[in-house]
Amino acid sequence: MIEVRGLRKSFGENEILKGIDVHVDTGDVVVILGPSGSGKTTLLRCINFLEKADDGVLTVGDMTLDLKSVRKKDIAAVRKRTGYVFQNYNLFINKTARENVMLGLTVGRRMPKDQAFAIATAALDRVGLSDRYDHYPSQLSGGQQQRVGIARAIALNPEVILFDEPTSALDPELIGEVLQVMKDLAEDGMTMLVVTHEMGFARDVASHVIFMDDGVIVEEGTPKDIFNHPQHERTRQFLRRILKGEAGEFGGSGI
Amino acid sequence: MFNMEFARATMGAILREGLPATLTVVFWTLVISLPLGFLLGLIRFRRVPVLMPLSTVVISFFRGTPLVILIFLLYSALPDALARLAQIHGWGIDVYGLLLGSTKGYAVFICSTFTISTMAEIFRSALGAVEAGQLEAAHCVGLSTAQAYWHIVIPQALVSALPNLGNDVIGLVKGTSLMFYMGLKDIMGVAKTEAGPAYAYVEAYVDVLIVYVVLCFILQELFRHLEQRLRSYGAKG
Repeated sequence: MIEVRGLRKSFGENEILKGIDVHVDTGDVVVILGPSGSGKTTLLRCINFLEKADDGVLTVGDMTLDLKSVRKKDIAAVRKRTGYVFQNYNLFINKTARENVMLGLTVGRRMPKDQAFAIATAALDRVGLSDRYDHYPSQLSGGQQQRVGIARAIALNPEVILFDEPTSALDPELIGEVLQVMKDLAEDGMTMLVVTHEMGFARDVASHVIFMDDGVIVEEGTPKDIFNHPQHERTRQFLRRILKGEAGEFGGSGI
Repeated sequence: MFNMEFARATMGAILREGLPATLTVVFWTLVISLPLGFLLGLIRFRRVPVLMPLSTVVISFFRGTPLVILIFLLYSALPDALARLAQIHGWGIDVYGLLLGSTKGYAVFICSTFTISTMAEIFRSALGAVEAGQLEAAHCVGLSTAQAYWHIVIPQALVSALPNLGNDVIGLVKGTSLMFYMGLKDIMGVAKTEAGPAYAYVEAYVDVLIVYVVLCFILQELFRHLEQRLRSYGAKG
C-alpha cells in the first residue's frame, strides 16, 4: 500500500533520518515508537512532502516516486491518497468544524456544496461530534478539535492516514476519546501509520510496531515481539522508561 | 477673548467644505492603498525575487520621509522637474495641468505613497502572524498554495491586521491636515482661510481640534466593532 525505501533527511549538518525503510500493507496499523528527536515526526512529514526528503523512494499504491526529484503534480497525487492528522490539530481557526471538513472537498476536489455538506456531516458523526457541527475550533476542547482533525482526514476518503502524535498535545483526560476514535477506525479496516507515545494503543491496536532512535529503525515486529521480547538494549531502556511513567495506566485502560 | 461667534461660524464652514474634502481624500486614498498595500505586503512576505529588494527601497523612502518634506518633493520638486524634462525634449505636454489640475487628486496621490508603504508593512506582519500549520493543513487536504491563501491565510491575516489598520487610517486622517500646504481646502485648509483675515487662529484651531477628535473617535469605534464582528470565530464560549 505505502512503502518508503532509503529515506534520508538532514537539517543543515544534522542528519535526522539516516536511511529509513517502512512498509505498510492495506488495513495495517503501523505504530512508530521512539524517544523525542528520533526522527519519527520528520519521517511522516517527508512522506506527505511537508518536508522535502534528501533521498529515498516512496511508493503509494501503483505510484513510485524518487523523493529527490518530485514534481508538484506528484505531490498533489500523494496528498490526494493520504490523510494527515497533526499533533496540534491545525484546524482552520476561521472555519467551523463542518467547514473545516468540507473545505478539502469543495475547494480541493471541486465537489458540489450539498454533497460535501453531507459527507462532512457524516464524518463528524463518525467521530462523535454530532452536536458540534457549527462550532469554531476556539469553542472546542482539545479532544474535540483533534476529532474534527480526524474527521477532516477521513472525509477525503484517503487510502492511508498518517497520525503525527495525535494525543501529545491533549490533557490526560481527553486522550481516551481520541484513541477510541482511532481504534474504531482501525477496526473498520483503515490503513494507518501512527507516531505516538501511547503504549496501550500500540500494544492493543497495532499490527506492526517500529522502534526508532537517532534516525534509524532499531527494531520492528509485532507488538508482542517489541513489548515482550525486545531484542535491543535501546528498545528495552526506552520501554522501561516509558512504562514506568504510566505504570498505573498500562494494561488497565483497555485501549 | 475667545470669539465664540467666530468659532461657531468657522465650525460651520469647516463642516460644510473642509470635512467633505478631508473625507474624500481619505476615502480615495484608502481605495487605492488597501489593495496595493496588501499586494506589496504579500510580495514582501513571500520574498518575491527582484520585487522584494525594490519594494524595500521604495517603502523605506516613503516611510522615512517626513510628510511635509514629501509634500514639498511631490508637489513642487517633482512637477518642476518633469516640466523641465518635457521642455527639454519638446514633448509638448502641460505637466502642471496634468498633475496639479485637481488638488484633491494630487493630495490622494501623495497620501497614497506613504499609506501604501505603511500598509504593506502592516499586511506583511499580519501574514507572518498566521500559523505555519494552517497552510500545511490546507496543503494536506488538497488545496493549492493559492487556494490556501485565499480561503485560510488571507482571511486570518486581514482580521489580525485590523487594529494596526485602524491606527494607520487615523494617522492618515490627521496626516491630511498638512495638505493645506498644497492648497487643499480640507478641515485645516478651511480653518486657516477663515482664521487669517480675522486673525482668530485660537478659535479656528479649537474648531479643528474638535472635528479631528470626534472624527478619529468615530473611526476608532468603527474599527473596534469591525474587529469584534470579524474575530467572532476566536471568541471563547
